[in-house]
Amino acid sequence: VGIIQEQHPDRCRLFMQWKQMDWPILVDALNLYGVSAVPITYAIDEAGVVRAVNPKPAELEAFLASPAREPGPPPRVSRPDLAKLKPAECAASAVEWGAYADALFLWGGDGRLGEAIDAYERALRLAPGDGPTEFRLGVAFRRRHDSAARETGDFQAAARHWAAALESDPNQYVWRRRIQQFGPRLDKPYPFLIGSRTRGWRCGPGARRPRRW
Amino acid sequence: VIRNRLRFALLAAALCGALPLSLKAEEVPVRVGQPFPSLVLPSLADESPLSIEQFRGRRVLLHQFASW
Repeated sequence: VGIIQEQHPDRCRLFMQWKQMDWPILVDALNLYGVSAVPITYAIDEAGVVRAVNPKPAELEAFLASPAREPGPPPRVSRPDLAKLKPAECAASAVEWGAYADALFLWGGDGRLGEAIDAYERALRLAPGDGPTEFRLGVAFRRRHDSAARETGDFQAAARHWAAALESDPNQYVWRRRIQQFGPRLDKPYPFLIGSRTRGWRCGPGARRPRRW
Repeated sequence: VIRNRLRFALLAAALCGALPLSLKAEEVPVRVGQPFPSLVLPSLADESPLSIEQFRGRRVLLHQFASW
């Protein structure tokens, strides 16, 4: 089984076809698992318990040779009811708005990306500067930029929020890689690591390339 | 010498203090001996809801990767 950290599932579909791999894959475009680098491999037993992380061949053999555990029945999963997830206007927290935005992005289709963006923006107003929310808002803007619902400024907004996310956690390699692939071209040194967000890193017409050392 | 030691101690403290910054991402904790965190995500095949929990009863080799 695989979990992919990709902006678009299409790209991975081509990759799987090319490599002739046909295992089930979960698409984690929003990086909900919060991994900061890939690849990571886990050996998971019949009861869903992690037995090894990045197992070496000997550990993998021991895992496969160990006695089977009694599993519980596998649960059935379904799409969440988006209407039920919508937080109450007055009492909602940043976590609730963030979870609602994630669900809208994952299950609402391109037609509800605008609502997902609004919900992420509300979460950010309640928890300004939260890195994962900034990253996910960037993903949502970039996804809308690639859809029929594209609005002027979506690409620039994605770049702005991704830059803010990376500024909060410069070592998040999964985020950085996403920006390199789907944001404006980044030239080393990354300006947001050595200066303010406003300096040097712009995109769109009249964009200036960041200064080189 | 004392001044140098003090500088070294301050530098070490600063580095120790800086370390947690690199662990700031809100990572879903995955620990050996604990259940793998179950999130429902769209499947690559048909975008239907899929979760690691659905493979309960089978041994799973789970690979987090990207096609970069």
